[in-house]
Amino acid sequence: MEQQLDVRELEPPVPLERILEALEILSMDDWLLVRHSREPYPLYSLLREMGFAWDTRWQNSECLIQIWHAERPPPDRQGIGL
Amino acid sequence: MKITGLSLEQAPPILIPFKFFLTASVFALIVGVVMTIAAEATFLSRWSPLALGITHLMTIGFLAQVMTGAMIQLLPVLAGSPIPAVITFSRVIHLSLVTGAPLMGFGFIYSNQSVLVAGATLALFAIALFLIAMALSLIISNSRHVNAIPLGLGWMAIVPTVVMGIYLVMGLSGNVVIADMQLLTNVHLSWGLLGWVGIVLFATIFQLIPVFYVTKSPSNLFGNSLFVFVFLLLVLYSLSLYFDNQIFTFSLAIIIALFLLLSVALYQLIQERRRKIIDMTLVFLWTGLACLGIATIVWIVGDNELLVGVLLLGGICMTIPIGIIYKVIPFLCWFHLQSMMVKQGKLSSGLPSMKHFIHDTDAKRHYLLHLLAISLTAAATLTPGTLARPSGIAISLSSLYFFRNLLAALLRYNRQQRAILET
Repeated sequence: MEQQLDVRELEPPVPLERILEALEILSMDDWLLVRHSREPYPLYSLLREMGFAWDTRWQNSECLIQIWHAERPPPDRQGIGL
Repeated sequence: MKITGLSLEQAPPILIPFKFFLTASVFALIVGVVMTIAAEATFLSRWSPLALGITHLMTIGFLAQVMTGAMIQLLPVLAGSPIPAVITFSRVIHLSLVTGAPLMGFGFIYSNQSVLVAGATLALFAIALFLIAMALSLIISNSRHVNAIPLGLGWMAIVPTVVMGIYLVMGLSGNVVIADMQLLTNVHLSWGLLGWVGIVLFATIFQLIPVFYVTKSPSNLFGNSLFVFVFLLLVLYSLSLYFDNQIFTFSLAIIIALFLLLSVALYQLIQERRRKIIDMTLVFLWTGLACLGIATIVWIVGDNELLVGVLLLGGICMTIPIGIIYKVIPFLCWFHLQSMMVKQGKLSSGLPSMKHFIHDTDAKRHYLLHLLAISLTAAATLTPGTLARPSGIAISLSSLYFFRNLLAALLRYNRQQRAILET
């Protein structure tokens, strides 16, 4: 199931903190969709370290980052992705 | 889709920016000490060996270090393009700048051509190496960050700056004959101050403000186009070396007007930030922009080149980078500690806030000292007899306080790091 997090109006480092908090409780079958105002490059190294996979796309001037547990198939392969 | 991405190792070790910034503050201190010892001789003429020495201690010793150190850290954060072999590259660049800057500075001051040439060669080597490293990072990474254009142009502007600088050094040592030394010097410093420093500083700020203050992104005009115009106008201005035509010299006035326009756009962008809190980074930034306005007025009036130089070098080229550092260093400290926590499997941070690393009161005290130093130095161009030495002392104290704040941030970072490793 998709969990959503909107960090577009938050100042650094709060977006990163909120994403990490959300990932800490993300169950194995869920994925997180983050709405961001920028591409959060520093986040990616942390995701990799934590065993998550991600997909980043831009839509209507918004950066959408879909994050899921790396050992699970990507949400779009289940027909429920971005 | 990206399942394998950046590794933690691609975020450069935090000691790298600290090393660059700490030694930059030491060079600012050296400038203050030299001014204190030389007193009113500092303000005799912008062409005096002493003034040239101080200018190069400031530009290579302080500015080049701050700007290369900041870029090495900001490229992965802003554009997702880390410098390859960052430890080796940064070590060689730092060492070359740290040795090149004093050789250049004191080569000028003591009119020793061979020392000057050695210093210029080292500075050239450091800058060339940095450009190669930056180009490699942008090529290797998949990032096609649109804002890399103004940053790339700004760093390209350092090439003519250095080439003309080396040629001027050869002219001073009698190896080549330069027809119009004054004009070539003006073109050299225009590429340096307006091209390299001006474009890189403004392009960096236009990238940082939306990230750190949550504003909308600057329009393409301010994000890219104006910087391209500035670069092209500098090329046009350089033609005045070969053609005696007013249109070429007039391009300099247009460049100044474009930077004023950029300043207004920047001010407006900041005003549109989500949270209307004023922090010390913004105060440093606004002070730098105000100095640009004052320098322009003095330049138009046209009777005090030294004052224009002080306002540009001290008022803008020192003030704005210090403001940026006070925003970037706390974020980097926080990010590196957060990365360490993640490596240990602790996701919820419990880390101190960014303000813990550089306290607001410390940044404010530094600002007041810095403002006093710049004001006294500007006033000393009018009354050097009484104010030259106090201005040198004020610059020394302000630089020492900057060093102290950076060192305190590093020690606080180390303390937090130990605490994480021990738990």
